[in-house]
Amino acid sequence: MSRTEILAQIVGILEDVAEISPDEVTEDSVLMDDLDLSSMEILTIVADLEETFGIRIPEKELRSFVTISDLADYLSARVG
Amino acid sequence: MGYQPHMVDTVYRLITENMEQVYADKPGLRYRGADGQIVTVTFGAYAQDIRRCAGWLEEALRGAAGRRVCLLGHNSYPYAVAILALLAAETVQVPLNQNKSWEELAYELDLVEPDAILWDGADYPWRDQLLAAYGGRLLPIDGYAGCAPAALHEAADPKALSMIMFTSGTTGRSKGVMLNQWSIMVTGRDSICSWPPMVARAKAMGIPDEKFQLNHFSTLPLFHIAAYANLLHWPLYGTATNLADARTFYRDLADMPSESMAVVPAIAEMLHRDILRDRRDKLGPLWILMCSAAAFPRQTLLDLRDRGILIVQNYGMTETGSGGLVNEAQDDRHIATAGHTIPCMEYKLDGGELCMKGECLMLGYYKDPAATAEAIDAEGWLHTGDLARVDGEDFYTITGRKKNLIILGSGENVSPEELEGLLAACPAIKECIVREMGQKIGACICCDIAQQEEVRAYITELNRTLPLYKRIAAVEFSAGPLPRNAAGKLLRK
Repeated sequence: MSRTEILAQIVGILEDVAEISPDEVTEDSVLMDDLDLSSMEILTIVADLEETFGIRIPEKELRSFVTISDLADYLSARVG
Repeated sequence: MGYQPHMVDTVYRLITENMEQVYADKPGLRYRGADGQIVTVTFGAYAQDIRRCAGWLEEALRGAAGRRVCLLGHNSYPYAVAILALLAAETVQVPLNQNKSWEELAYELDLVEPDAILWDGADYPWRDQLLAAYGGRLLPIDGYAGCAPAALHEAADPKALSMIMFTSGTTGRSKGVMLNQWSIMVTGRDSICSWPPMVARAKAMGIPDEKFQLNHFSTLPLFHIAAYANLLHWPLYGTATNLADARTFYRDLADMPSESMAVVPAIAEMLHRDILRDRRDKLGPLWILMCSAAAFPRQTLLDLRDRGILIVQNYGMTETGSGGLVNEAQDDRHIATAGHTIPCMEYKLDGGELCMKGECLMLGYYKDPAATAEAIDAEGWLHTGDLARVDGEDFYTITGRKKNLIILGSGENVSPEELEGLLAACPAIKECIVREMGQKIGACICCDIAQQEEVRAYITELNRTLPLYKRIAAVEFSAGPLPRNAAGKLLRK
């Protein structure tokens, strides 16, 4: 899957979980700051990504997810 | 037996009467097994595993009474079993927050000097450090499997120290709250006022007594006093606990239908959004929300109530064994209050600060008499740090905080000074204040305009080193100095 497709999936999940318009999301968007996501919402998004991509994201990786780009990088390396 | 709770005041009686006799055949606990399927354990089988675990600990620790045993792990069935077994075996248990950094955990472990650590062996960031420092004292949390159920006995003194639970201190270092089983059991007894409204609602739904069975969904971590206390309280009512994981919230909820749920504001907001967007089907048979850990927005509670959800609030602290105020009122005037008093506690407002004393109170902070003396005055009043007012009907409303501590929508308590200390390491930051901004952590930063991007980048990197709940989510810049009071201290408001 290409990085663009991965980003599209992330954006779709953000819209579904937190009603964030795709127009508001860029690769540099900071999850908790720019997108105003709570830690609970981030966990829900991670669970949805796991389901979408059929992977299990280990606990210790969660800390490195600060921006949309972090999520895309991680997923690209595993399912790209 | 459905509508009638069986109230007891010790863990021994809870296991031997409620679990093994009164509710033995009812579902006691559900969880997702290793194969992904939901496992249902009856109260009777649950009690047998508690006995197995107590016997195993007795052997593994060469005498369990008085031993300090830490718990480190995700919510799981063996974790729940271990909590009750450690209480039954009269140990001093210390449930730790596995989301903390190794530095924080090492401080707490060093303070406790545990005889053993029960852990689930998961892939934590601090796994290697734990193995290196405490490898000889680690025991698998499910190590009781295959052991024979042991005889249990009533605790010699139910008011003796039986657990230490760490809570955020205002100066950054966590403090170990010393509690006994008595304070938590008494809280369960005295919170019974929230039960009649549930029964009344069930009767109105046409559910007959013999079919009345609540199932309580909890994603709150078992190291948190609210989840911990619930584990001991629900067996009083024959209610099953559905142990869930925040990461698989909706999947767990779909697979473990629940009438009741323990929520912090962040979860309540998610449910609120689901219900308002006609996604009620995602929530199954849910109709009770047990709200605790932080203040809830009034409109959220009103919206949920108007859509058929029964709102029950509990105001408590780790320092009070979760007890404090209970609110089962559904009327407009009271629904958003912290609640009314309960019999086992006394209350007063001291200069606007809510103070409590009574049977729920902690024994003190572990190895910290100075902090204990600061929290509990000579007359035995615990100063909560919360400013409150009380109305003519004995309902208290929290109006602000006296202590410098941020209480987030996730229920986590965070010390601003700790984060300010981390920000101060950035050379571009001249001064800063960390405070709550809309139930999230925000930083007000004084720096040159030209250096704002550098500061933002610093915070982004800093956030990578912090657990989710501690991340700085909002930044406000100021080119000039931050406001100070007459004494020269930075203003926090």
